[in-house]
Amino acid sequence: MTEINVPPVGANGNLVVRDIGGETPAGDQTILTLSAQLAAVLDDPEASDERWDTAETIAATIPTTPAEAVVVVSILTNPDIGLEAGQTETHLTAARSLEAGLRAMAANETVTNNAAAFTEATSLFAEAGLARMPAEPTESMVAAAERTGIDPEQFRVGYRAAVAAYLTEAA
Amino acid sequence: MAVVSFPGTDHSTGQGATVETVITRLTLADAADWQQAIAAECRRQRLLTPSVFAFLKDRRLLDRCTFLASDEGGDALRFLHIGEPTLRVLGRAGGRSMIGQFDVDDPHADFAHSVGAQYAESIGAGEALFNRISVTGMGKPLIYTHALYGWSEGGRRAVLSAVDVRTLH
Repeated sequence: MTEINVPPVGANGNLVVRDIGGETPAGDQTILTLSAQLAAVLDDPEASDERWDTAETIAATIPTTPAEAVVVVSILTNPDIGLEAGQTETHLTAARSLEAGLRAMAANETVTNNAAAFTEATSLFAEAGLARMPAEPTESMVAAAERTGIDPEQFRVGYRAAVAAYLTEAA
Repeated sequence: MAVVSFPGTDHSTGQGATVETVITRLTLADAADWQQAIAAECRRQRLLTPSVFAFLKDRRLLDRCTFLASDEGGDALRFLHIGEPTLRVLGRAGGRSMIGQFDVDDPHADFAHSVGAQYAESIGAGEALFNRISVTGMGKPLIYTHALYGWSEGGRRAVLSAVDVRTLH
């Protein structure tokens, strides 16, 4: 699992520190709640300073999900504070965060899927092999042996020896 | 054509047969049609996914294949699926080589290590390896061929070995 640390920004400190694809820890101030905040302050003509603070915080946050990426890109596309309203440093920050987040998501997705497919394929071979003769005792076999009073580790050793003998015999 | 020879030696008493494993690297053109088909499919798919397994099953080739994989976080390749030919070959070569990692104290360690080196070479190569293996000094001499294709993903490794023992007497 990859941890993405977002550098402290403004008064909010660390915003997102979590595993990619993991659950958002309860109580954390997420980019999604910041998004709602931004929407609120954008409606408030008095809150000009606050809107840029919030916008900068969002722009500096590396998104870890597509939904978060939408929030970051909105800094660029929002009619009130986006590129249309005049380019600022914040927009470049948002674009860089978006790029970093998308790169991480793409890399993570590939690794996760490949690894999952690898594991699944391995299990299929193992299951097909089990139908013939499991090379290692399954957990339920170990448990069943243990219930008869046999030490699990001794059972494993004994089982391996027994399978080896059987294979030699079968050959 | 590279020839890799791993002569076995008897380190203890000088008594008993010397196990000699000769591994001859051939090209896939020398492989049986079904071995070539497996190698081509693995190369085409590149990644190890359930569709590799499905291919073998659909073509009724699974029984001719042996599959080894490392555990998560582990280094040693373990036999997870033992094809009929391997069962016969390794049954002769000593059942102990079959289970878990290769044992250096095994009298057939030279055989296991030579074949193990081939497995290692095949992993992540993106190409199938094809070898003819002849083993003498372990009962009757035996000769077989294997087409190997190996994968590596996130620290885990796996090898598919398509074993042809039509030449085994």
